[in-house]
Amino acid sequence: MRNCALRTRIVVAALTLCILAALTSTAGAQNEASSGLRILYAGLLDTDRAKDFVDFLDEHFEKVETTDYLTFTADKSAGFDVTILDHDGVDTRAPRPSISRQYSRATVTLGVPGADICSRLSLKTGYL
Amino acid sequence: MGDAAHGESLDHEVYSKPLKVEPQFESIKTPDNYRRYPGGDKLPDTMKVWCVQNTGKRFGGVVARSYGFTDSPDAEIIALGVNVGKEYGAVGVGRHGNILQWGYSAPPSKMTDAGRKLFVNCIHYIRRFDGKGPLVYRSSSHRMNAIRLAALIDRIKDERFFSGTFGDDLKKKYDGNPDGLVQYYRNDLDLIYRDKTFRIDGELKSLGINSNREVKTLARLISLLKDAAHAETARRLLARYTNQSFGEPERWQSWFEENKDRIYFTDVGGYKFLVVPQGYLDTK
Repeated sequence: MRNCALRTRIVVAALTLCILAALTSTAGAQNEASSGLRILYAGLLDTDRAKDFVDFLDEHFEKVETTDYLTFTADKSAGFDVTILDHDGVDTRAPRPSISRQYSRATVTLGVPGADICSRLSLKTGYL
Repeated sequence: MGDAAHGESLDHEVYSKPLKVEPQFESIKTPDNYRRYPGGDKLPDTMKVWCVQNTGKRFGGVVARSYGFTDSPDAEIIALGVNVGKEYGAVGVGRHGNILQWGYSAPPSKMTDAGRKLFVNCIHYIRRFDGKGPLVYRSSSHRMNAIRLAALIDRIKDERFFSGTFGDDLKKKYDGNPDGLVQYYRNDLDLIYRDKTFRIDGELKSLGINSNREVKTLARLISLLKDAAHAETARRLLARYTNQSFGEPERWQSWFEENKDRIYFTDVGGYKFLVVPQGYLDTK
């Protein structure tokens, strides 16, 4: 009987440790995923696509702000860790924001309009 | 490019940090267009791929050509895009300097779980390259394009194409003979350079040097500066393949010794040996 109770306590303790370890691990991953990066989303505001992106980014990053893709200029990236330049993903004739080769802020470009931006900058990530 | 990425080479850290990306792999028939490109005949009948997004479309996204993508240390491939127009190896997600291009078109709600996680990880990853603009820009065409375009000489009817791409001498010799022209470039792939047209470097070849893109070639050319019989040719070749203009052989040697661990050769950046600036490869 005593052995059985002792075994039960050991099992309970082990399970508790496992649960704590799992919780710690999950929390760690979540903290890392929302590690305080400041994100600027430059998109076609007031569209479903922009809302889709912003809702998603809000889930994963602590600070997400938006600006209009059509009037984006390099100086708007100041104060942000990463800028996301997004038009509609597919338009081959999308306008390209006026950024120069001096622009060196961490940036994600998206889809065909993104490749066009890269082409304009003569980057390897460009369309051709 | 449609919805999928190729399933090879997923060992980049962006597939595990901070979120673990767990793609659901499937097998597809190798796209016919891949066969048209150099090496396409050697690809398997089927390929392992995974869906980044679920639009159901075969078009919409965009890939960048693979040729020369990684010939400078400021660029890297993150995902190969399954595509219906370019070669196998074309880049669906890639980084050049401070910019990460995500070639897929869909918003997050239409990405797969693995696609969403990769997207989040890409945002984290590019943060490290803030302030690290590109080292090179596309200023020339990679040597593999000589082979790719040589195969098309019978299909491209524009009169200016042949002479403008390969030169009049080769037009006389290979007009109507794409296989011959492809073989001409294949035979000396490592000696191709570009001076308005794709050329084979006969001067390097005359020195017994078989590659214009190995660092040991640079060392050899510098050593030849002290050889009266070859100094003039070596000097001309150093001007062709570097942006330096040192006079004395000793200065060339000193420059080489100081930088040899950071020297790389880029076709895309102009068929030049360049030096990675100190600290450039240190990331946050």
